[in-house]
Amino acid sequence: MATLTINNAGKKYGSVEVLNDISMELNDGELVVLLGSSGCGKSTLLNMIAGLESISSGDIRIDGEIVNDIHPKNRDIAMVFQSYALYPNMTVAKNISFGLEMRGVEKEKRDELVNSVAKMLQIDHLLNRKPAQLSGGQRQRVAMGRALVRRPKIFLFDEPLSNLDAKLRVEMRHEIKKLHTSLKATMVYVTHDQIEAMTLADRIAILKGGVVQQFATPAEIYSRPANMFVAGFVGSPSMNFLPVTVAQQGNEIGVHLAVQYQGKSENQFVPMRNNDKLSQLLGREVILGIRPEMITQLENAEKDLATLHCDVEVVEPTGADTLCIIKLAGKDSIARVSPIHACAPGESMGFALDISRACLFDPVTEELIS
Amino acid sequence: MLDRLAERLPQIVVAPSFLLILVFVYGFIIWTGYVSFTKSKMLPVYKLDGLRQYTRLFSMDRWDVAYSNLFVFASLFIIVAIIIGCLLAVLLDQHIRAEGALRTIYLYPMAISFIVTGTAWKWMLNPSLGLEAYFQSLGWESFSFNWIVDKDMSIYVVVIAAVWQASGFVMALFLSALRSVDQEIIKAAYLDGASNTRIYMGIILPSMRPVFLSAFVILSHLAIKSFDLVVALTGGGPGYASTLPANFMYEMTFRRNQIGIGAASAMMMLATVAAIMIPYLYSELRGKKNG
Ligand SMILES: Nc1ncnc2c1ncn2[C@@H]1O[C@H](COP(=O)(O)OP(=O)(O)OP(=O)(O)O)[C@@H](O)[C@H]1O
Ligand SMILES: [Mg+2]
Repeated sequence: MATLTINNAGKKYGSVEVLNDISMELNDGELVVLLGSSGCGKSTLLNMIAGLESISSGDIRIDGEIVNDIHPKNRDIAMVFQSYALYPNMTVAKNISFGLEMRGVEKEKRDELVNSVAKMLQIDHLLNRKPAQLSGGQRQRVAMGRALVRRPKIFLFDEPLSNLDAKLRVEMRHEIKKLHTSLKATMVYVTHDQIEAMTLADRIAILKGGVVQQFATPAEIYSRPANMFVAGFVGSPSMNFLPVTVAQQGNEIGVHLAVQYQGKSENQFVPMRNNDKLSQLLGREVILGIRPEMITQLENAEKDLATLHCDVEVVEPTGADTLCIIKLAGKDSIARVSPIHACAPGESMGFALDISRACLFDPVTEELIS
Repeated sequence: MLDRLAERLPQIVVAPSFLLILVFVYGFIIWTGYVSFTKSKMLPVYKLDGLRQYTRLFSMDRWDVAYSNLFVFASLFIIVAIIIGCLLAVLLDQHIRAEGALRTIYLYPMAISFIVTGTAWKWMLNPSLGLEAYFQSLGWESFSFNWIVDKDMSIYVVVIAAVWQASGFVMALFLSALRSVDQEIIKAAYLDGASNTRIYMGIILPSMRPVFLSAFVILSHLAIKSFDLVVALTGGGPGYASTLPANFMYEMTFRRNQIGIGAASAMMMLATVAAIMIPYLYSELRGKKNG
């Protein structure tokens, strides 16, 4: 049970700046996911929290106490690694109890703790095996057991599921979530998988090039992404970005969208709601960010949505939904429709646009406007 | 036609060396084995004579000394070289500065022939030329280090020189293995609160069993065929106190016109090597099949 505070932390390798001015605050019992593409410095930040890498600038506090110069073993932190990092020459039981042994816990107490953790993770029948004799999923559980048995203040996970197959990954994800709910421990979880991040996190910190792009709840990151990088990174299929100009028609403010309808290019006006902010943007070019599920079939759609008719170029059934690729503002855009209403490729159909949930970005700075 | 040629090309390319090995290695092993059962003296004769050469061999004190020297030398050499090489590797693994230079320095002895090593160490250990004379000239009159002329100690001098030569190589072997250990395991052990010593002794070194095995095999074959080192360092002396079986074999076959005894001693060496290598190869190959 602990809080973790990172104040303006930076990391440099020689003259290379890997992390720049990272600040975030984790409440007691919160699970924060660090999300970002490969090489953006996620593992480096995690290692700095654990004490395995030095901190070049700023500070990291656990329960308010600065830990910059505290040895890793005294920070009371446990970490689960991507490669599991099990000790190859020790049995599962020994692997789990090693940290306790190093901390001088007595043999009987150790055995008791190991057994209870093994039972919780359903690996009690594997205790006498060596890591080489385990499957990937079982190794993963042992690695978690090793972290859990010590009851540390903070858990760190470095892409713990990325070596598992898709099905097992989903299962383990649920278990980690359950574990977090029952332990109510403070956790930092690193991943480059946005679905993992969305499903697990209390809050997500999105990193790019060593800078935090947004630190917010999954819902907020999804609906109000701070910039186009965040918007494109989260959500699958990813958000459509349409270059449009803000215009006025009658007393309504909206955007002009070029669509392809029956082989011809047409300009359609889509009115937008929150007028006060938009009126300042009149005549300006902006990027309209609209998620695939905000473009659906006309049937069963709410009455007051904007409508569009256009040609469908490609149809991709995914099972639950069918993805239609249409041309909006000259860009291939994805619409998500229900399979019964999807038309054949080359035909045209009507779409309803839930434009009120769309985002507008500045085309130069790529920041969210509204 | 060309197709057939292309198909056979690998066999054709390998055939000459295969034939050469067949004749000059295995052929001569058989020949030596045969000769060891004859009365050959200066020239080989081919009339079988039973085990007489072996009984003569085993009754020679010279062979006893050489054969037991082999065990003293080989076991000390292997153990000490592995321990020192391992220590050096662990020390170098601490990411110290000038690691590249140090690594090269340690590795260099391996590039020198045993003759040079032997001669250099002979000079250094010679009581009237080397270390002993040097320390005495500095005023440490009572200093004495005369193992090289001591009948009971001279084999240990051979061990010292051989260890000096080989431990750098063992270090390189271990260092590369240390470097290939998953860094995350070391990090995990750190977080678990293990000390540096504990991490090496308890986790890293035990996971390097294959490297110990290859170091052992390489060093044991170096030990068994050690010949030139003894020739250059002690000349087998004083007397024959530091001879090894290879020196014995050479002495008998080429200098004393006792080809029969020489051949018998060679067969004993082969048997010794086989006793070590066959279990090793067996376990390796069986491991392959299981894995
Ligand atoms: N010892 C080092 N010296 C110099 N640069 C380094 C060093 N270690 C890491 N880096 C750089 O720091 C950056 C961040 O590395 P890090 O391992 O934190 O990435 P990551 O976000 O964990 O990526 P991944 O998802 O691939 O694991 C990378 O660009 C990497 O090249
Ligand atoms: Mg990483």
